[in-house]
Amino acid sequence: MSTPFELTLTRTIPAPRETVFDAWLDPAALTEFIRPMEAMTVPTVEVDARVGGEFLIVMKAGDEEMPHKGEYRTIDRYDRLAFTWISPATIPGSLVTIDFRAIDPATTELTLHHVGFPDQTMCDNHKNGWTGIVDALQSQLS
Amino acid sequence: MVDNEAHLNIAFHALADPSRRQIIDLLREAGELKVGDIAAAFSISLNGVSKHLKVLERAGLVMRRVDGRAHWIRVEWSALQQPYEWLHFYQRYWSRRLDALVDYTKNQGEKK
Repeated sequence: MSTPFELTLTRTIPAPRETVFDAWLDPAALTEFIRPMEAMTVPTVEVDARVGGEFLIVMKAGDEEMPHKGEYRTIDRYDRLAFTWISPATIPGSLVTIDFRAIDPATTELTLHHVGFPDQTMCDNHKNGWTGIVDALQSQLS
Repeated sequence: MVDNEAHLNIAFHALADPSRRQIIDLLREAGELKVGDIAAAFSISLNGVSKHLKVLERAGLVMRRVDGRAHWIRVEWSALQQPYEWLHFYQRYWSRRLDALVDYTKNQGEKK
């Protein structure tokens, strides 16, 4: 079930699960793939890769610095990674959960789930009512 | 962006309550309803409905039209678009990040 504040993306990546997983906790790797645009730089990436540890990713476009930060909630090598995600574009307290599944030793299926709620419990509480609203909006706009 | 955030929070809070979502659903079906009709539909007090409507109004999710003694309520659809924008922003954002991740892992593979 999807809600306006919840999205799921799946990608099949031609790389071993270990490589894909570690990229999310490796500052050098994050610098490569986390910036939204080529024109942006990532002057700061700090990763404290333990549950309860925090990360800070500063993205820079021109003179404008956009700090992205969060806290690791789950580090289950190499199955699941979950962290809170707070950015200038996010309502406070969104949660990103990434699942890694080895299709074969050289191929990984990555599933990214982003919810705009502080935690899953709260999300579940709110889930049911959203579907009707989305449907309503869709029929209204179409 | 900050205003946007604040508005999302208010809208989100307003919609967090099941009764208020039911009111939105009901208005979706009916178009415009009198406050008393909404109260009757949920068999809750006029006072209770008024409280919920005030929260929805503050969030800009419903509009009130006063016609003599009758207060008519309808959904303000444009306010519900913000959750949508959030969704589309991150859909694009993560989709591109994952493409970049694929490129990164390819380069790693070639280096080895």
